Amino acid sequence: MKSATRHALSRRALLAGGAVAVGLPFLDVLRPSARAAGPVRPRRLLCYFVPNGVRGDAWFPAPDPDLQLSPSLAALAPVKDRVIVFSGLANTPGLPELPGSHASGTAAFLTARTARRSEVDLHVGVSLDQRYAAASAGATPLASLQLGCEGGGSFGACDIGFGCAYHRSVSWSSPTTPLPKLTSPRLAFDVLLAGDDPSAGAAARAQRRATRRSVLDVVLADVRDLESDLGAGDRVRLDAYLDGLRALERQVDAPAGLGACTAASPPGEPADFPAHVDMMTELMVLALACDRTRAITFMLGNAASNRAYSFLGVEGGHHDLSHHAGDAGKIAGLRQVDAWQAAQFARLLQRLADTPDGDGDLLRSTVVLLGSDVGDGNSHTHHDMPVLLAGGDDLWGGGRHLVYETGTPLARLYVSILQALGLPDTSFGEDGDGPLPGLRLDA
Amino acid sequence: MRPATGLPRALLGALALSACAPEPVAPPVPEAMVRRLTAFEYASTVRDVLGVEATLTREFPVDAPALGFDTVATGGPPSSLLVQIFQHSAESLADAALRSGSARAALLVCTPDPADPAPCLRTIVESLLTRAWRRPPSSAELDRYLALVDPAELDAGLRLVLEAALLSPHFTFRWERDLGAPGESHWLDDYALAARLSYFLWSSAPDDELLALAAVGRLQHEATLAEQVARMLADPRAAGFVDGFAGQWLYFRGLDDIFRDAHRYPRYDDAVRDSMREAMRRRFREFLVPGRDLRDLLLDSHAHVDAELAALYYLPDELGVDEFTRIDLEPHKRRGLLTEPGLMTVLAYPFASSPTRRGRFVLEQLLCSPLPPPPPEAAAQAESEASTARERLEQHRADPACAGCHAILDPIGLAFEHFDAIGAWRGSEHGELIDAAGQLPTGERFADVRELAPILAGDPRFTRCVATKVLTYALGRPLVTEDQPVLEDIHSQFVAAGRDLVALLVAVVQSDPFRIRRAQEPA
Repeated sequence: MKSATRHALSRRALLAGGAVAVGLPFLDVLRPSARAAGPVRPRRLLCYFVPNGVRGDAWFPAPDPDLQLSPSLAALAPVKDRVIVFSGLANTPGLPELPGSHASGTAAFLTARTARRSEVDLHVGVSLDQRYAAASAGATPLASLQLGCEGGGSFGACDIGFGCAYHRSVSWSSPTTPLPKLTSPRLAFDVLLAGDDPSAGAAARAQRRATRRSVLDVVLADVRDLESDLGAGDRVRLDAYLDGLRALERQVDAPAGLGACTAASPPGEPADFPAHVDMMTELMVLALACDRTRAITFMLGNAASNRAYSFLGVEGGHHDLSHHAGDAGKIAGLRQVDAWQAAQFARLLQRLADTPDGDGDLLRSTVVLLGSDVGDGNSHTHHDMPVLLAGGDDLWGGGRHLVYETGTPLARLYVSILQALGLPDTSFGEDGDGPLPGLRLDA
Repeated sequence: MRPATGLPRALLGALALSACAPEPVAPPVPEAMVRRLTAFEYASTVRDVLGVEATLTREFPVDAPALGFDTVATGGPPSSLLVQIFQHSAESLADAALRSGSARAALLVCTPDPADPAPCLRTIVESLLTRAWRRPPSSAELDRYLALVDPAELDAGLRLVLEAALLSPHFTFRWERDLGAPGESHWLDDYALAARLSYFLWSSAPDDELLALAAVGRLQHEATLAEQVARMLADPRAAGFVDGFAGQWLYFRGLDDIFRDAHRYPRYDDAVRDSMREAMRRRFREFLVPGRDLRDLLLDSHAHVDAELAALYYLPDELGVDEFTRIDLEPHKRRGLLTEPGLMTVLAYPFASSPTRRGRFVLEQLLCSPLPPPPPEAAAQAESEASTARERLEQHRADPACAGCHAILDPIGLAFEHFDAIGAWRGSEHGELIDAAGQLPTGERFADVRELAPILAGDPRFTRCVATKVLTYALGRPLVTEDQPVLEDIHSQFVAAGRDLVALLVAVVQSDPFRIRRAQEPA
């Protein structure tokens, strides 16, 4: 524990480049004024997807309401008191009628709806992050941000009759619109800062906004010309484009200034996968710290990712390992991958905890959810899903292990999350018929 | 339009033909949705219209393919994030075009007269919009864009014009106007047809010749279409069809994302991967000239090999293969497409070959005969101590739930077992000799993939499958029941022409759904 903490602190100092005060006492990092403070506003939502399920025997904690970290979750120790682990939750809508569990499970991850099996007529539901993004539209320059570490090959089929978009997107702005994610750290950075050059002077940035305004006016006039000519089908596509242009207008019209982002410097090309994850982690923290967006989804890998973890000394691709067929070597490798993924998530939480926000820290004002497409990767179950919740300590505390009856809808947790974010929703997805009992400290 | 440059030769030829307008009433075709440019099409279009490389497109979100093609996937609505990326890209491209001496010179098709700059400015902007939007702008559009330019600050104004022109939905989408009553089919206007042609065969914008043909309304002529296909396939831009169509049909575009374990496959690196892709391009490109039988794609006894690939083929050093060279495959126990190292690599796992993926490729991509999905319990595989793929699959087939499909899949997939996960030949696996022989459920026997190839090439499903894939890619939508007679017709023309791929492409562009649009229901 002690060495892990030192590592976290030195890493933080390294990554933050001195922007954040270094050398806070350990307990301050672990327990900022999270629970004592007044109302937390604004709140953010970050949903973190890991592919291929987990090896449950090493992942789920012992059935004790006080969280005892399992071997695969050991890396969460420094932030353990701010994390809740769930057992027993099911995402039943993710179960396809025929095989295709990775596609349907990934599509259901944040929608809790059953995906239509089709290559072209995609249909599932509005995702949790997009429900919140729609409710908080206009508050930040970006309504939401989709990031990931795996683009996916631009060839072939993905999963038995399901379009590849089900594999590669967890955010759905409408039941028929998957939101593609950014995997390039540099492009993500540029998008975050809306192309504003932090090193440019205020006058140059103001000039840039003025020219953008005139360009947008011309393009919007092009859209108006087209509108009257289009039939119903094409009009849907143009309207979606217009939504995007309106979002650009809001960026131009928003008050000038990048806030805390002025100190940010663009990332380079990631040397390898761990470096890629590091960069994306920093970008997520930056996006929230500068209040550029309040809804983020992140896919560590695509559905059925077959990424190789040679750097862990593990032989085999992730998806192949997940179908271990009882092979002890593969199961050991799978546990290593699970533990490594948990460590990446833990570092994100640590970085959020290290970042001041209002009278608390960024982790307190962010609801962070981790989940996967399936429960057990070997047998493609959609019950006993791996689910972690972090942040939002004032609402539900931490250091807890909540054990539910097997089959309890995961979508109930989503209702609880939406309510915690200030929304009036009382249901979500196909089986989220109310909030999850026993979660909120005040309920 | 640009200043008169004289009519191209092909255009004069078309004009010389007797007036033979398409039949006045367009046969009905299924409804099609507007298509956004794929990232690949966007990059090619920018390169051909502006003369600069759109490097940022490499970082665009991947267009997740539908039915195996990005051209089908881009029929869906765009996300707001993508629109913001288009803005970012437009700004960096405008900057690049004005910084590059050659691109800026190409943009300035005339030099504004300081005393009266307006006429030349109008020509510059009209020329740019025509090429970028694949049609001439209306005078209202032209005025709107010209209003962005202050002649005293030419480059600053052109920058705004470029940014707006590239962010405009007229650039990022290929709109086709409805010219008839809702639900009724009509001949496409010639500019829309020019764009369908150029994006099909070049993945890029129409060039001046196509635009000139469209301007005089001659493109719908069947003879003109055939001439244009021949001309376009001879153009270097046909690389867009090689990478866009064949890259997705034969999976070599997927090599970008293929990782191999460095310890097990030390020979595999970025350079070998690039050469694998280039070898497959070269194999396919041979069929873009008339007179070749596409079955030879599977049967040819030669391969294109460079220094990077020479090691994979165990070529002796003294052969000194450097640039790409044609080698005879007979001594290498290989044949045609099916033994291409690039294909074997894409159809493998990071650490091992994959008979299942290879078998599925043959069934899905070459025969268009996908198997039904596996039963749910197939996900959890039983423990196995088999040392070869054949033994593992034999155990798998012992399960009656799996046996039906694997009886079809396994013999095909195992025929490739002499090729490891990077397509190098091997005689044994884990100390056991590889047996690649098999028998199809229909009775044909083969010793290995070299004998499987003629069986597949002779299967009538192969040519039909090629026609299906090409038509799907060209139309950017799934084929529906209404399309079946058209597909039949295209297929028979293809077979009648000796399975000449060029004839197939001509048949596709001359087909009704390629030249006709059904007006959409009103919004």
